[in-house]
Amino acid sequence: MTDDIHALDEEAFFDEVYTFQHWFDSVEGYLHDTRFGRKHPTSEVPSEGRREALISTLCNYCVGETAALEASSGLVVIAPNRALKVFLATQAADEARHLEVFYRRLAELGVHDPEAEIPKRASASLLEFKRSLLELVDARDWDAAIFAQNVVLESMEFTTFGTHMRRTDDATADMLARILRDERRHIGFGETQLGRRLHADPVLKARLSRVRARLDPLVLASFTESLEALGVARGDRPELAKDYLQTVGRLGVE
Amino acid sequence: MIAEYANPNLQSFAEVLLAKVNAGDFVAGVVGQNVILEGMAFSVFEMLQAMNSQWNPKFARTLAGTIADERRHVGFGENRIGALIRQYPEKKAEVERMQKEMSFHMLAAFANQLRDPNTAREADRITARVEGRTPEDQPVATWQGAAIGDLSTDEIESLLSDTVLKEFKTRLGRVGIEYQTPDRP
Repeated sequence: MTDDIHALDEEAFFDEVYTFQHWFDSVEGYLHDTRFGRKHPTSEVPSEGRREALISTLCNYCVGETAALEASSGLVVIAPNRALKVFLATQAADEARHLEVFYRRLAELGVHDPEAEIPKRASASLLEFKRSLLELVDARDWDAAIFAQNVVLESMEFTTFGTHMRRTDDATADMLARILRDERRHIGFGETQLGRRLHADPVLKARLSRVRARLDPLVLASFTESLEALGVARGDRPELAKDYLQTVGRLGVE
Repeated sequence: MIAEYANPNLQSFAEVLLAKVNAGDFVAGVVGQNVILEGMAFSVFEMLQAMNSQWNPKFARTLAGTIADERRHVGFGENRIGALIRQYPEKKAEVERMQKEMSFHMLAAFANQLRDPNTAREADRITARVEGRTPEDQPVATWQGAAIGDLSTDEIESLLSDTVLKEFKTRLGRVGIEYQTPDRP
């Protein structure tokens, strides 16, 4: 076995990078010596207005992470081979960890019953997105479900967490920075799974374009709902939509 | 390769469990996975670890890590299922039927594997290898109080089956499920 995985041929490369061992080696770099997903030792609680806004935001993150946890677990069942099943199992573990650290942060902010709090604050568009994603998994539509989860949902989270991280307290930022490292890996998986085939298969491209046309409005509406809930004035809103569309657009699915 | 070598009875064992999972039956799924499947794996791996401790200590150490995981999984089943069975008592009969069916397929898998002449020959080769060692470097591998290296494959099958079924009975009893004696293949 070579130490340089990039020297491997394609099949051996994916056999190597879609393993729990590779996952362990990856996450060790940014989760070693952390507790509930962060090194930042304080349980900093922002002032009242910002605290309320942060609770709403984290509740919505929990909806997204629950969707990803349930979808990636379901995708293990329909994955076409062992290596893909194992990668998706590592992703399910990542998503479960994200949910856990968000719950922990919510508890620090004074939310003692997140199960009750999340439905009260969840964006309707995000809930609709979750339903749509799980329908694709239940229908055993591998390509569409991977696109919806590992490209659309992960890009949405990548954009949102990245923007949020730059504007929040140190404890939350530390937690989000480490989650982003996972999200990057998940997006890479989606792009690798679909990229080459999309280039060669116009029928698949057209089909995923239709899936995207259904999901994009939900993603964009959830951005708007979240920013409104946070009380961010229109002029001050970050360019979440533009960043998201650029990230998803990399695959060439219009 | 795996499909070629997989024991068909083990495949049937898995199908019973997956049918429950696919039907969204959480209680039966957790019993099937965390008590029955993990309980079987725990005992089989423990026995293999004892056997390999003499002639393949590296594999025995690998199994030790797997056994530690299995112990945690079985623990989850026991902690959670008792509460679920109390919450959904109507599930009990169905879960008991599943346990009986999975246990039968498990025993058939053991029989299929251990009554195979190739397995007996492999066991003889291992015994000869172990006997070739000096008494100083040949620790006596025991499992469930038996010197596992001295047993015939029939005796191993009997010891393994009885051990796993006894474990099922104990663990199921703890969560309020009445153990059902399976048919013997």
